[in-house]
Amino acid sequence: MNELLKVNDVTVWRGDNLLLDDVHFALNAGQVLQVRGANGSGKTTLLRIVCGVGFADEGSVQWRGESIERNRHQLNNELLYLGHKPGIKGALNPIENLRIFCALSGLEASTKTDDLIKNALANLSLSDKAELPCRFLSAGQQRRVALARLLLQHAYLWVLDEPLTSLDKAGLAWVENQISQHVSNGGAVLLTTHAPLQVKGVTVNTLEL
Amino acid sequence: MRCIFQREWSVAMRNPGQWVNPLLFFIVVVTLFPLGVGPSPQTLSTIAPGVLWVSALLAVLLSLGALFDADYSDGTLEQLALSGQSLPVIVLAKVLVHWLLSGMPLLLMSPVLGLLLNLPSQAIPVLMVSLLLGTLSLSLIGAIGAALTVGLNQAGVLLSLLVLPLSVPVLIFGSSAVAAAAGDFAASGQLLALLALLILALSLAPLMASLALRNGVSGGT
Repeated sequence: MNELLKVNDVTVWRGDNLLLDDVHFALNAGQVLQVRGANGSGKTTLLRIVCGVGFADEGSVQWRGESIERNRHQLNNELLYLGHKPGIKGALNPIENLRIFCALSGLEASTKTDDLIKNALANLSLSDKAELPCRFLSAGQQRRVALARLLLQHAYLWVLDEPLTSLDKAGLAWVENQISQHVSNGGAVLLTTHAPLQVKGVTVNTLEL
Repeated sequence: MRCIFQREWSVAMRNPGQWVNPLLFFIVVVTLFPLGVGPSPQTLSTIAPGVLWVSALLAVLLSLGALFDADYSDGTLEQLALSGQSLPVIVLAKVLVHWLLSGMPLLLMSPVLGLLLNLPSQAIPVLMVSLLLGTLSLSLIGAIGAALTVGLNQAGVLLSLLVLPLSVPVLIFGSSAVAAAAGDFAASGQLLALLALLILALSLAPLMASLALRNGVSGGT
């Protein structure tokens, strides 16, 4: 069975406004789905509902054929969610920040993990900033630190909320490249972005809100 | 859990205000009392248990606001809630670090302040044990309040309203243990009651706080 994620008729009200109206889609292994819409059209809300950190007024989300409320543990282990707020601590340096994410996804803290982290940072050309507290990094560099998680955490489903914010051209190309590799390895990606996305060898499906 | 513990520790070490403020507050309040009520040794030793305990309670309360707010605003809390690890365990690690940096310094400072208030010396060990058990319970109880108010702006007053009623038993048993010891009575009954409160808080608070956090995380946009 290769249907990973299924969203059924998700409806969300914000006060008297209908924010999401019967949104439904399915995401299979090897697919990329880009959610598009104007500011305030509910993209982030939808992504949060898919991850299980937000609640829908109606509708349901299924992961591997079971609702995410019942299947939460499995979803959490197979999900990488990169939110608007990247979860990077300004007081800690990139290595320390990434160690936490490794620990949370079950990687033991060891020199081997540290080497993985250093490699990931080198891959994102952040090697010389590895020992600097993140509050001294630029917005784009902080975004790169958060994106290093894509190399470290092994997850089937990537949910990326505006991953390209404040990234430069090289960063954009890096993300496109990672997505293309992830998808060719059988992963799935759900993302929002306003930038045009060109992923090599994959058609990017879009969902308009 | 060890990793969370380490991270919390290094974050706190790089924000010294987080642990210096409660300690300073404790010292300042306690030292102001002799100036306010007069330096008579009898008066001071009568009010010492209450003053020390009320100041400790308020100092812990003061430091609670920061427990989850920073994690909430930078998005860490979402990541913690979404990780495969158990949230109550993560909460427990955070509370322990919070206690080490807010309760523990108070505990270490209390003998000096006890002497300053002319507390009889046989009551000092009881004061320390009662603060050890009590401030741990207060940190745990406070975590529930901090988790419930996460994401609310200006939640200070609401937090106090939520946490104070729950912390009153700790205050009563804590200060009465010290008062009993100061009057040469056995304080073991009160200390055992504090221990019971601590065990209750230890078993329930992480669970309740993590439920409240899940709810708080899903409220944001």
